[in-house]
Amino acid sequence: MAQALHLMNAPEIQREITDPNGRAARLARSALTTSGIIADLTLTAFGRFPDDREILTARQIFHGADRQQAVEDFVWVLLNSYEFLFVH
Amino acid sequence: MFETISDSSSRREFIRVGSLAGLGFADILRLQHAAGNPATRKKDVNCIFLFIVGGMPHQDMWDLKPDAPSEIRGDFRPIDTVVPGIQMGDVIQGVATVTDKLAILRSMTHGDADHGRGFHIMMTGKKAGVGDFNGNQNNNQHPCLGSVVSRYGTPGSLSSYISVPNFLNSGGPSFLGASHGPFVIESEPAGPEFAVRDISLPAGITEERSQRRQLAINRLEEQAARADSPVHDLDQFYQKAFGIMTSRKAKQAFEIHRESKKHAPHTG
Repeated sequence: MAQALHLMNAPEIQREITDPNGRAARLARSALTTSGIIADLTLTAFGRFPDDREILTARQIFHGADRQQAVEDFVWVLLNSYEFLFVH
Repeated sequence: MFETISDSSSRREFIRVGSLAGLGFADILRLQHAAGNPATRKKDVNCIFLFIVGGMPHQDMWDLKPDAPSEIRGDFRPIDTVVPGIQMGDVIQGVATVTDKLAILRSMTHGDADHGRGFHIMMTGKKAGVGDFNGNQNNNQHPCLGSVVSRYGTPGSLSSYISVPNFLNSGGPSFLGASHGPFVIESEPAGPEFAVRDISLPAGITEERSQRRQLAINRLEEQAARADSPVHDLDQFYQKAFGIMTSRKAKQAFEIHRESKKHAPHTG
C-alpha cells in the first residue's frame, strides 16, 4: 500500500507530470485535438491505442477542465493503471 | 484454520495456543459471545503488538532469579510492585506501578531454537513447516495476527494492520491474500523527522482534482474491483490508500507530534 500511496501522491511524481517542458505540457500546448492527445498518451503508456472505454474515461477528464490540468490528470491515471504497473 | 477453543477448554489451554496470536479474531468474538458479556462483545479493540527483536532477557525484567548464584542471576534486583506478591526487575520501575493492569504469561515458550521459526510461531501462533525462515522474504505459512485482525475486524478509515518501523519477518498475510498485509511505515517514530510518506495530496492538487482522478481510475479499473480479478488484491490497496488520503481522522492518527512529550516513543 505504501507503493500505491507513493505513485498517487509523491511530490516527485507530481513534479514530473507538471514539468513545463514535459510531455503533458507540450501536448497541452500543441494543436492536437483531445482525441489526439488521448491516443498519443495511451500509445506512450501502453504501447497501443485506447479502447472505447478508455477514450470515454479520458474524455470525461477533459470535459469542462483546464486543458493542461486535464492532460496531467490523464497521465496520472495512466501511471496508476494496472496495465501500466504490471504490463509495462 | 485456527484451533477451535471449545467452551469447556481450560484457561490454561486457552493460553497454551498463544493467547491472541493463536486465536482468530472471530474466535475471540465467539468466546465473548459464549461468555455472555454483551458489554464487551462488540467493543472495538486496539492491540499494540510489541515485538522486541533481540529483546531484553526475561530474568532481568519479569522473572528475576534472586536466589541464583551471583554469577548467573544478573545485575538487576527485584522490587515490589503495586500487586503484592509480584516482583519485577528494578530496571522497569514504571511498569511496577501499573502491574495491576497487566496479564503476565510467565509460562510462555515456543520451544524452537531457530530465530526465524520462532518469529513465525510468535507472529502467527502456528509452527512453521519446512523452509527457510531467516531470509528477508515474506514466507508466512499462516497469516500473522495483524492480517487476521485485518480480515475479521471492522474496517475503518485507517488500515487495520500497521507495521512500524519496518516489515517484520512472518508479518505477512499468507493465504488471506495481499490485501491483508501490513501498511508498513518505514519511519522511526522516535525521530524528529517522523512522517508517513505520501498520505497527503501533492501541493497544488485540490480535493476536486483528486476526486476527478480517482473517479477516472475507478472507471478504468472497474474490472479490478471484482473478487475474481487477478489484480483484486492490488485494487484493495488502492481503495485503502484512497481511504487514508481522504480521511482526516486517518491523517491525525499519524501526527504523533501532537501527542504529549510524555508519550514520546523510544525504539531502536
